Amino acid sequence: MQDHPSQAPILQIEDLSVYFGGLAALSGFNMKVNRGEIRGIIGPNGAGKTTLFNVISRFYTPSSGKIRFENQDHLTFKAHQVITLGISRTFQKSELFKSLSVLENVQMGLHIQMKASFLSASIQLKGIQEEERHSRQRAMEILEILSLQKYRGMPASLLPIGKQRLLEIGRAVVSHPKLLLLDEPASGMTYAEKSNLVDMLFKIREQMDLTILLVEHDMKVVMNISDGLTVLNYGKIIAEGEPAEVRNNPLVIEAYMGKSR
Amino acid sequence: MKNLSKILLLAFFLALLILPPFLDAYVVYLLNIICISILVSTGLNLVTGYAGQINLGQSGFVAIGAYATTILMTRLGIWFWGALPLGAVIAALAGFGIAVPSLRLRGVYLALVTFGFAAIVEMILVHWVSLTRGPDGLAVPSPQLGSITLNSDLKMFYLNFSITVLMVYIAQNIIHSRVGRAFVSIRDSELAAQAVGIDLTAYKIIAFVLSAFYGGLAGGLYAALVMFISPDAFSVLESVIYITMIVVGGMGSILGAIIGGATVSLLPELLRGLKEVQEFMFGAILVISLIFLPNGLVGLFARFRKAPKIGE
Repeated sequence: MQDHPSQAPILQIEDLSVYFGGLAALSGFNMKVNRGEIRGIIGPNGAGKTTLFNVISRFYTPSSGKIRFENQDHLTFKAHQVITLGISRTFQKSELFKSLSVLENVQMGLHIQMKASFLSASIQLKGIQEEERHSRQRAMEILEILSLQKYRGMPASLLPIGKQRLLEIGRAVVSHPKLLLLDEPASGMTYAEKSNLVDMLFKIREQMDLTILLVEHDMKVVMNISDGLTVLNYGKIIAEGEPAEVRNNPLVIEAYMGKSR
Repeated sequence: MKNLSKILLLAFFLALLILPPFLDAYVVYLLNIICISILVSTGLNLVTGYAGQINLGQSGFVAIGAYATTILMTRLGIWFWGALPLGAVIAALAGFGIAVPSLRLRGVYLALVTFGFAAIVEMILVHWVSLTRGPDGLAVPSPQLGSITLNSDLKMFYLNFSITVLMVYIAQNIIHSRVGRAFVSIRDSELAAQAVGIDLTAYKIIAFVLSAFYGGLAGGLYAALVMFISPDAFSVLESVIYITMIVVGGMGSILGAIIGGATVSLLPELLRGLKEVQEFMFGAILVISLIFLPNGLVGLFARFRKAPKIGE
């Protein structure tokens, strides 16, 4: 596993709380994620994992607490600015652009790195076609890594579920983000697709020097891929550490299995 | 195959350029109306078909374009070639004005606000008599092109045809750029659109402003064609007709807006003898195509073609 002990954490979350009405989705949450790390976040349904992602994506504003990404106050940014900082994500329930083609979905991931405006595009100013061709080429490279190139012209909605999940990852990584948030990427995948996913993620991280936060229910996937695990229950961290030690933590077992009698 | 469709398209264009002088005057008038309708529906398609933001106020933008172009010519003595784009810009500004407060709304609420906007525009046209002469309407001077006065349907056709072709080409370019993809992304998933960096507000405003610009341009051309405008040509019912055009043709398809604009704009002419049931017919056509042709006529054609091949 990659090790960057000298560097400051890329993501630092301090005392984060999110309340929906009286319900605490997250309370007093603290986390440090190091550059290059793959951090698994697990916990029963409703533990606050997706809420955490939605706060980092700035869809939710926390009730209190701080987030620093690369030492900047993250909460000053709006949802659509988050990707410009180098944070990109996938969604628990597939959120592909269903009427766009597979290739165009990946191209969407490059939107912020392109310049065409409705004026320059309308009269095809110099450079517009070149920019478009370049983005198509970069998107194709990602599709090749994911072995989706033969589906490029197909509407995304016609892809099988497992491939849709991969495509969403492709859209998220094409811009070469620094931090990737994966929300249950293996859900809906077959056994073979899951092991393929693990290989893909290692490959992508190696090529792109990514830091990954991974929410996943499939224990085999999380244990295989994560450098460290954070376990949430009822909005609070109940355990943290290397996969092997977390797995045997009695609190974790209790949260998943219930109290032993 | 690609060459064949290019040749067919070219032949179609040539026919449209060569044939009109030999056609019945009424047919030439209809060709003009078709061009103008295609312009309106192409614009509406950008905001409603592609960006998924319902706009039931398009008749308001057409009205503003028609009246602004006319008043700029008659009151300020501006040349038609300046008044026409200025009229469209004024309509676009109105589009901006209506977009900013209403974009927090969705679905039915946005539909209601835009519909209300069109109704207000119609009221203003009727009651601001000092500017619009109210129900009496305004005479529109014919455009001058050098020594030629575009005072016949035939001459106007060449103008309307060229502008429509140009504006459809522009819409096509926008749709195939990152801007067009951003529109579709908003329609398909606002969450994911934001996650890839789409500023929802900015792009919804752009879509609305473009739609209003197309509507305003069409209004100015319509005024020059019919040479007389009055509020009843821009009733809110027209907005429903425009929506019907893109629904019947196929939302989110350039070709759909063209086919819808061409077919639906002919209906009032075909139903001339049935004035009383016209509005009912539009409603019926809208509902029937929503139920049986969810992707419009374009979707119907696509169904007969082969499914997209893997690797194409």
